[in-house]
Order: sequence, then structure tokens, then C-alpha cells
Amino acid sequence: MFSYYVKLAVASIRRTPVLSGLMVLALGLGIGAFMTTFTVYYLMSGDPIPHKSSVLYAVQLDNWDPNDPPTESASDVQPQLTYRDGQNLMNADTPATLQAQMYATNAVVVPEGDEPPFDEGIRATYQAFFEMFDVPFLYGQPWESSDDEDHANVAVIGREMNDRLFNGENSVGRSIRLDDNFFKITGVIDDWQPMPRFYHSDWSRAFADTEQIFIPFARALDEPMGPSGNTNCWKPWDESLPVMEAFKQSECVWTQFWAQLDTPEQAASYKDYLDNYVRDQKEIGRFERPLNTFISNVPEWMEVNNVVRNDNRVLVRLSFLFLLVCVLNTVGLLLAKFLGKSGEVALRRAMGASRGAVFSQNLVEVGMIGVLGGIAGTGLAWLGLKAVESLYRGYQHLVQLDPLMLTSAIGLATLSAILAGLYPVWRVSRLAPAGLLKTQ
Amino acid sequence: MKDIGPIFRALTRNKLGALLIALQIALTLAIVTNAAFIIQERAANIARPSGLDEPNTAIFVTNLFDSNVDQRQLYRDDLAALRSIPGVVAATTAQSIPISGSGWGEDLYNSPEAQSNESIGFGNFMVDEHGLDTFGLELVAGRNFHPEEIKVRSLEDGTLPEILIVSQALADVLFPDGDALGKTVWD
Amino acid sequence: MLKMSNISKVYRTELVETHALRELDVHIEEGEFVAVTGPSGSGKTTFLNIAGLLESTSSGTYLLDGEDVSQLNDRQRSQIRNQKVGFIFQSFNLIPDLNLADNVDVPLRYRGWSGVERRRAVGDMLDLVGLGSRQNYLPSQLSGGQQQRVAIARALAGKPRFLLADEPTGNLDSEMAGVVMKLLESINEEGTTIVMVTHDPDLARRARRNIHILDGRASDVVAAISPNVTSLQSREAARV
Repeated sequence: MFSYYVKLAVASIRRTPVLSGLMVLALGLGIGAFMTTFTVYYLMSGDPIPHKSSVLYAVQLDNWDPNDPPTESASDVQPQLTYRDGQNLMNADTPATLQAQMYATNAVVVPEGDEPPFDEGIRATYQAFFEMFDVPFLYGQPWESSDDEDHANVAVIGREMNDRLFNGENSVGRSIRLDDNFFKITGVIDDWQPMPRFYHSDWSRAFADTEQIFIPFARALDEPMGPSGNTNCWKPWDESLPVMEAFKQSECVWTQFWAQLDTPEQAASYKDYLDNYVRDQKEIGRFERPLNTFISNVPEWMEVNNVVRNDNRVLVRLSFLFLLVCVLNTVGLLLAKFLGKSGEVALRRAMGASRGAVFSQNLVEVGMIGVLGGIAGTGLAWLGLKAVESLYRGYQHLVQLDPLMLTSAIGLATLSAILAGLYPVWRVSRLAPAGLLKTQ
Repeated sequence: MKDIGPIFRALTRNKLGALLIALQIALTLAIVTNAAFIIQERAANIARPSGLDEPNTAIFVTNLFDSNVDQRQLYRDDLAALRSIPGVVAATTAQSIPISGSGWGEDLYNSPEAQSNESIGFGNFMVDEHGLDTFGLELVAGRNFHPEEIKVRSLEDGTLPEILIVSQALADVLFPDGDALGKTVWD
Repeated sequence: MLKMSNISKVYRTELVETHALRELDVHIEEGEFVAVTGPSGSGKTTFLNIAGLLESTSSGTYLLDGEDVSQLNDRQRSQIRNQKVGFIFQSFNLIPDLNLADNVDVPLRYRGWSGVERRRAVGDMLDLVGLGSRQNYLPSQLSGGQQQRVAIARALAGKPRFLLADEPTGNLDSEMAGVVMKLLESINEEGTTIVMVTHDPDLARRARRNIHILDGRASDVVAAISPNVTSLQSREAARV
């Protein structure tokens, strides 16, 4: 009977093109608006690295101004570490499985051929970064840990950069020129786009493309390549020293620090280690605030940093209300359509259709309108996301309609249509056929 | 107008239809008022005048990485070339770009004994004697920098300058009595 | 075959209680051709609806083929209606969205027949009424008389126990009405029971038996046999 109902639904929709078109349009608009805001919200709040997000932790140490208000939670503490603290942790034997200090910088890439030089973002970090974050490699591998110690001229580049400079060939062993120096390529990473890039200090950039160049942390500082992310200082640095040296020794925070802690016991043990480290530093006059260390795994880190802004939530709520308006509209249109078909319903009842059969038949028609509305809505959502992309630089990866969103759009539309249609369809199936078939 | 009566009575007879329409109107009103409020709030923010002659000010960012080049001379040559272009009123260098989404902030204190939580934060621009003209700023008290007072900062010598020009607003906060001119501030 | 005893049907609204039928007794045997007459508001249509299980009774017994169908639920009534009753109405008889074949097909779908069985029955019935070559036409492309013939085809498609016709020729001119009546008569001669509600005394006379409903009660009327009853050749139907 289902395929019969589908056939009847198609015939009915074709004979009432305007009314059916209005319904599809109403649903499509509501779904389009809602899916636009919801897709952005969903991608923004998604787990960027699901298989490891619970074992990767961001470290926070409260080295800040003792005169500032007390720290009540991790959101009150600076999200970055000083150079010194990160280095002390990197060089010590801590309970963590892996650790990586890092910062964002940039340099000018000078291609081999005639292409003019261009400015490019770089992540300066340690070999452990690649293993910690499960970065997929297309060619080669990360540099050796001895390269970190030796401040070696090595680099890992991204697939896009590899396509641009080396035509996509295996460039391992070749060199990339950054500013004045050549860096030997040890590996090329495949497309890697955690959403968001939770390790970035600048959340406004965290939704944009992953960086295409990675070099050892110590080597970047030798250049010297300064941080291009946020730098915060509460105390002036020692002006008697050269700038880079003063900067490294200062209480300015500009590096990010991540640790892999595989078990809760390991995490507890690491937290104790951090507390003891801060106590030791207090003895030499640093960390004048009360002891406050924090470790947050990826989901916790997204909370601490309030990644999903209230703006996004408000937009989702408003667009949901709009969808509601469209559904209510559709209820009215469906009532008009089905009550107008009361003659046919009466005939079918006379032919032997039970109320349930009439109900099912009309529900299938409603469902089909829902599916059509979902398809229209998906098209409108695609347009909406394009508009969002053009308005917000850096949102390129938040505006993708993946298959899950597509099927949810159509599913939501069908569900909305069926909800809208329940009352009209029920009403019509209850019509007493007897009265309607009398003409005078 | 006299049709209102029958129209209203017809509506009350078709209660469901009237209810549907009323609900839609209510929800739409809620959406529109919310959206209008948010938009108006944001628009007011964006419409605030920046004080900069935005249509007539251009920014160039240069990346100098070749250590064989005399960077200071290059800057002087570039500025001279820019200033000689007909129509260019003034040109200067700065380490911070206004309205760019990033910038340089400092803290100042109006006395050496002030506690760290008594600082005044501000955005700073390190410029030469053409800075005021380039940003289109009007001097209401005191004087501009003299060319010989302009220092060059580098990675070897990062000491901060010892003179500054401040906005009226910052002067009022640092020295509410109105006698900021000539006073010393500490970082 | 169809036995109604002491049927009453009461319609209640907030303000008014209407007794459409009271103490109605009707007994119809297989193969009869019964005309049901009566003034407007007498309860003719209510009687038809109850006979066709479109409505349930307020009280009384309705036996159809010996089975008590008076107090069944909607699903059970629908099933029996589908299997045993063929309806023909005065107008709005066909579904405008569908072509003739699909219209005739409707009761068979609710019967659950296979596609092969359905197509065969549809073809046979449309041939019987002389419209076999127009299976793909839409109702809007036919005259009133042709539409009624399709309605008859549909009513017969599932081989029902009896046909219930509510003023089947009410909207037709006398020529088309004649053709439709002859078709009904020939069907009745093949053995199908027909109960027909009508205003028209001439049509009533063509039936073999008359039941008159007045104020909700039924009584038999001795019908004068019309000398013009003849059997119909299907070729004549094609003239319309």
C-alpha cells in the first residue's frame, strides 16, 4: 500500500501545484534558515579530535599579577604559558606520555622558481606535536627529537604547500626557503583540519585553514621569529637585555602547552607535578598569586574558552522560532488542502477505506511534501552558508554541509511536515463520509 | 471599518484558523523584535566614528627578511618615495594597525608608587614626526615630536621611547585635574 | 440477505436531537432491484448510509448475510463495505486526480488484490460499461453519463453483494439517464442486488420493488409494473 500512497501523493501534488508549492516553500525557508545557523553551531561545538580528545590536556599556570582579582576558575587564568615555564616542563621528566610547547609565527616563503615570495603562517613546535595530535602524513615523517635539541633547519609542510611548491611530488629531502634560510623537509602532512584547531591561542583564527609549515620551536626562536598570536604581559621585561632574550625571560605569556595524559591517574599525577613545580618557582620569587594550576582536556578546554559564543546560540534559537512559524503556516495550508479534498476522502471511505487507511494515505502525502521541503531547505541552507562564509573571514570550515547535516535537514523537514500535518490529516480522517456525499 | 464586526465574528467561528494566525504573528513579532534589537546594538557599535579618515588612509605591510639589506635606510627611502607622490599628505611607520583586529596595548601609571591594578591600559602607535598628520589627528595642547627626538627600536635595543603624545581622553584619566602636559608617566 | 430490524438513528447536536430513522424494518433478498423513495428529509440517505455501513445504528439490528454488522468498529465496517457493497452517488463520483483505470481500481486496492488481478478486473468492468478503450482518460474529459458508467464499473469491480445507488441519474438528461438505467437493469438481471434511492417516480416504477420512507419509517409500496422494461444490449450504451 505504501507505493500506492506514494503514487497518489505524487498525483495530488501535481494537481495542486500552487498550494503544494507554497507548502514546500514555507517548509524550505524554515529549514534553510535553521540549518544555516545550526550547521555553524554544530561544527563549532563539535569534538575536533574525537578519538583522543579526552587524553589531550592544555596546561595553565597562574603566573599573573598578584594585584588582580582572585582566580575562581580556569577561565580567569591566562590560557598560555611563559617561555620559561614551558621550557622547564619540556626539559623535565614529567608524568606525561608526551608534551609539546608551541607558538604561531610567520615568515616569507621564497619559492624556487619565478613565483614571487609570499607571507605564510608557521607553527613552531616539537616533534611530539605530530604524534600527540595524530597528524596524518602523506610523505615522510616528523623530524627527529634530536632535531629539536640541535635547533636543526628542518620543516614539515602541508599538502597544499607541497602542491604549490613541488607540484605534489614527494618533496622529502628537498628544501623550503623561509626568509633567509633553507629548511630540509622531513615530511608532508595530508589534509588535516581539526574543527576547531583547539591548540591555537587565537580562537578567531581557530576555524580557518590549518597552517602549512611546521618547524622546531627552538629553531624558530633562533631566527628570531616572534609570536604572531596573542602576547600578554603584566610586568615590563628587562630592558637592559636584547629584546629576544628579555622576552624569553619575562613573565609574558605567548606559548601554548599541551600534554598527553592517557589515564585519569596519570592526569592526577601530572597535576601534582605542576603544583610542585609552581611551589618550587615561588621559592625564587615567581608566581606571586595563590597556587592555581589547571589541566583541561579538549572538551573542557572548549568550555573554558567559551568557544561557542552566545551569538551562535541566539542565532540558532531565533532561526528555530522562525522554523516554528513556517511549520504553523504549513499547518494552515495543509488544513486548507485536505479539507478541500474531503470529497475524495468520503469516496474512498465509501469504497472501503478505514479511517486508518485514509490517515496513512494523507500522511504519506504530507511526508512527501516534507521531503520536498527538506530538499528545498538544503538548497537554501547552502546559499545561507555561502553568505555566512562571505561575511565571516576565517569561517571557511564552519560552512560545510556534510552528509549528516544533509540527511538531518531532510529528516527535520519531514518530521516538521508530519507534525504540521498530524492535525489536518486526523481531522480529515474523522470526517463522516455520509454527509459529504449528499449533494442536495 | 464597519466590516470589522463581521470579520471578527467570522474569525471567532473558525477558532483554529485564527489561533494559527495569532501564533504565527506572535512568534514573528518575537523574532523581529529580538533581531532588531541585536542589529541596532551592533550597528551602533560599528557606526561609532573611529577618528580616522578611513577612506583616505592606506596601509602597507612590508616583510623585510634579507639581512644584507640596510633596513633602516630602506624604510627612509620608502617613506621619502611615498611622500613625494602627488596627493599624499603624509606618511609614517607604525607597529600597530588601527581597526585591524590586532594591535599593541600598554599599561601606564601616573606615579611610580602606583600598584599594578591601578594602571591605565591604552593602545599605542610608535610613529615619527609625521605620525599626527598621517593619522589625521589634531593637536589641542603641547607640540608634535621633533625629528631629532625620533628613536629607532630594534631587536638589539628595545627600550621604550621617553616622550609621548596622548589623546585628550587618556590625559583626563591619568591626570583628572587637567594638567597632563609636561607630566611624567611610568610603565 | 439484508435484514434491518427496528433500526433507529438519532443525531445529537448541542441544541437539537434529530431522529432520522425510527423503528425501521427492511428486508431485501438477493437479486432484488429495490427503489427507495420518500420526501426530502425523510431519512432516505440515512437509510442508504446505514445499509452501506457508512454509519452505525443508534439501536436495532442489521444482519448482512446472516452476520450482525450493527455494532462493528470502523475498521471492521470498512472491510465489509469494501467486500460487499458497491456505491454509486449522484455526483462527485470520481477522483479528479486519477484516470478512469485508477478510479475503478480504488476499491480493489483496499481489497489487497495483486496488480494482475486488479488490472484484469478493471479492464473487464470498463469493457462492460463500454469505456474499455478510454482507460487513461481523466474524468474531466468525459460527459456526465460516461462518468456515471465509470462509477458503475468501479462499484462492480470487486464483485460486491449489492449496489447502493443514491440518485444515480439525478444530474443526467433523460437520454443519458435512460442508458444508465438500462445498464443497471442488465446488471440486476445477471443477479446483482440493487438498492436505488430516487426522487423520480418513473425510475421508481422501473424497479421491481418500491420502499417508501416517511418520517424515518419504511413501508413497501405496490409498484405498477412498467410495460417498457426490456433487456439492454451493451451496444446501445456506446451511443452515449
